[in-house]
Amino acid sequence: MKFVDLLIAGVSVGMIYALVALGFVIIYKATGVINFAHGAMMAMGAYLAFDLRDGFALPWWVALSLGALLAMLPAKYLAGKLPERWGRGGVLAVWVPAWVGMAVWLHAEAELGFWLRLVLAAILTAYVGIGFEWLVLRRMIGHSALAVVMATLGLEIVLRVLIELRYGPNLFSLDAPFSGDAELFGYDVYVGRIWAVALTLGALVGCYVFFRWSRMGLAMRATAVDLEAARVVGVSVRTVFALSWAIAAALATLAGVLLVTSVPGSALTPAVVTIGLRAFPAVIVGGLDSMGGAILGGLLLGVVEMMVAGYQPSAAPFLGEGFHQVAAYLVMILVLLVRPQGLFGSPEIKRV
Amino acid sequence: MSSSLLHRVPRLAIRQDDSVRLLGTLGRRLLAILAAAGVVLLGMGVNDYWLLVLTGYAVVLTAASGLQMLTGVTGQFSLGHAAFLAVGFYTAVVLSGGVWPWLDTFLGSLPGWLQPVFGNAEGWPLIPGLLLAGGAATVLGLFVGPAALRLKGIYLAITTMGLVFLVGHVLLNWEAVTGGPQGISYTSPSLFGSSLGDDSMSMLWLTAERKQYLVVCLVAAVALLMLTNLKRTRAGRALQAVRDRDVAAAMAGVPVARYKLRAFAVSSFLTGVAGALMGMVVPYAVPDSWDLMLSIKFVAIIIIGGAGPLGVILGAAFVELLPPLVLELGIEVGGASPFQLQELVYGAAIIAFLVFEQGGLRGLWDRLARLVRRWPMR
Repeated sequence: MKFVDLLIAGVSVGMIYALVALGFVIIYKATGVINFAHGAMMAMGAYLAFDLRDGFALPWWVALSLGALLAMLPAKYLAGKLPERWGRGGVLAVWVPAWVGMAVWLHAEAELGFWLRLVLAAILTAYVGIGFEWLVLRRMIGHSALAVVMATLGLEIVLRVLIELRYGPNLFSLDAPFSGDAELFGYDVYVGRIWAVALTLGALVGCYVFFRWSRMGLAMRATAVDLEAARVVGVSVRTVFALSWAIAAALATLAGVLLVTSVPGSALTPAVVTIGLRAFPAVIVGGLDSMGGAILGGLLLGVVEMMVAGYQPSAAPFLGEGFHQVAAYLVMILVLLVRPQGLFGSPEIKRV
Repeated sequence: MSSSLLHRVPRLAIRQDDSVRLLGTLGRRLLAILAAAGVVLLGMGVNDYWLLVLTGYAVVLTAASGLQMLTGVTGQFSLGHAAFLAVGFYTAVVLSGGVWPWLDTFLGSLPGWLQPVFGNAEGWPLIPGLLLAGGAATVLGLFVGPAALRLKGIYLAITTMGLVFLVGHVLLNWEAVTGGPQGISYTSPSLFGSSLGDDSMSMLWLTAERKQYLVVCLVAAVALLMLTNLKRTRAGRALQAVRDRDVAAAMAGVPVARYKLRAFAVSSFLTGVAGALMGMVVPYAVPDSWDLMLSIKFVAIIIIGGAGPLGVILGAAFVELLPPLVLELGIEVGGASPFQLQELVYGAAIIAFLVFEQGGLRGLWDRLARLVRRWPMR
């Protein structure tokens, strides 16, 4: 039954990799950037989900100033929906209650449940993504893609060091409300794995529905195909960029949390950052601009990793301990040499 | 006025020939002499701690020149330089003796007149050792070469990142050479039969630290000269053409593939050499020392520094001299160690420079120079 156990573990890890890969692809398609900070964003989301267990409990002056900042986004969004005759007062009418609400919320000290923490952490990480897009990437429009990629490398360093500073090398538990095994088709499966697969599936379906049928999703797809043409027909490219970073950051948080809760007995450590980097082969093998490819690539990566971890120590011990952690990179380099655009990506056609 | 040494040397670059020649003007020659004197005086003047810091700075300069050739001049973005450094380092470790007995027997059996150069009784032999370290790194670089030919930009970066992980895996498992997770210590090299790690020549002011400092500075100077010289040569211009638009370069008759491979080879050679010297400042290494962060540090150096050898010098100074300065000044920020502070600052500096001044410190320097040159005009 070793094979089935490994397959189940591989699929559950693979679904999480798929989630990570999807985050890469969303940002790449919208903005043409590979986000090296994705792993750091995963770790940040997971640590926030841990840190919120007693509520935010910020001092009131921090709560007030941060709340003012955070309230701007919903106010700006809702202001467009208000009747025109409300004028500027309408914006204030939304912003002030949002501000007060946020401030009270940030100041309050309360025990928060796992799911609430997960959602809040995802929202906060999304804010960080939007903030980075707003403060840095927007100013770099027109610069070479490589320069923008290096800027995300800078973000990765900053986030990682901040996490190290605040949390150190300690182990934390996320207090997930599930434990133990459940029986599935005659096999014992850790409940965390089932949750991971279910939530990932939910997120993937949600993304599909959003991109396929919603107005904003259509706008994002249009931007991915042709930025200038999308602008001409009235798509707000700024919103698209910001939203793609927000979605990717939220997905990263979900992936970061599930990575910890889906393995029995595992705890939150700074290693989550590295695991984000380990998902690169999934994106590359699947193709940077193919969402379906990213999901398949993630699944493939998870299954390959688990199979290698299960069989390589006895079948090919000369490859050394921990070979499963690098096997995916070997596969990736081979795939790249044969098909530089990945298995499902579209080849780059360039006019000279 | 005109001595024989400075005969017919223009003071300013007024013709194309003058600005193309390496040390073509009086000012540049004086600058070179002053720089050399400054390096020596600094080595004599500062204490052992700062000598170690400066030695580390010179090692980083060497490796960063290698990366600058690949990324700055040829436009190939590599995150794999930690792997090349590791290969260089462990080549030096193997040559130090005690790892492979057959190698020690072979080196010991060489005729006596070869011993001062090739023997490893006093430490790994410096000159052949550096060449071998560079050569081993070059072999690894050419192993990635086919990928470099097929892949561009971001794909190449990710592939070379994979190289760091793969090499890290090998290091962790090849315990005979790397000592496995426990790590292995490094012994100083020997030059002409005397170890650079002892104080046998201390009556000439040449303590162990000073000897190592001077040797590393010499290597760094050669690396920087290679980088400076590159722009004057056909190869350098070809590499820049490959960076700016490879298809157009190919149309103009530049053999793109050959030059990309050469750039990879030279870059990994220099980085391997730097790796072999790195032990002078990091006398003990575990496989985890050669991780992605090390590669990113060098990328940070050339982003923050900017183009050319001056960019390497400024960027490496910014990144590498930050922790000792922080320690020296006793700055404390929220319980961060100097190295965490270093990473935080260079992470933020990468973003700031990319947004506000893509030329890096070199760009700021050029602006300042323009301002001074034109003063009082603007």
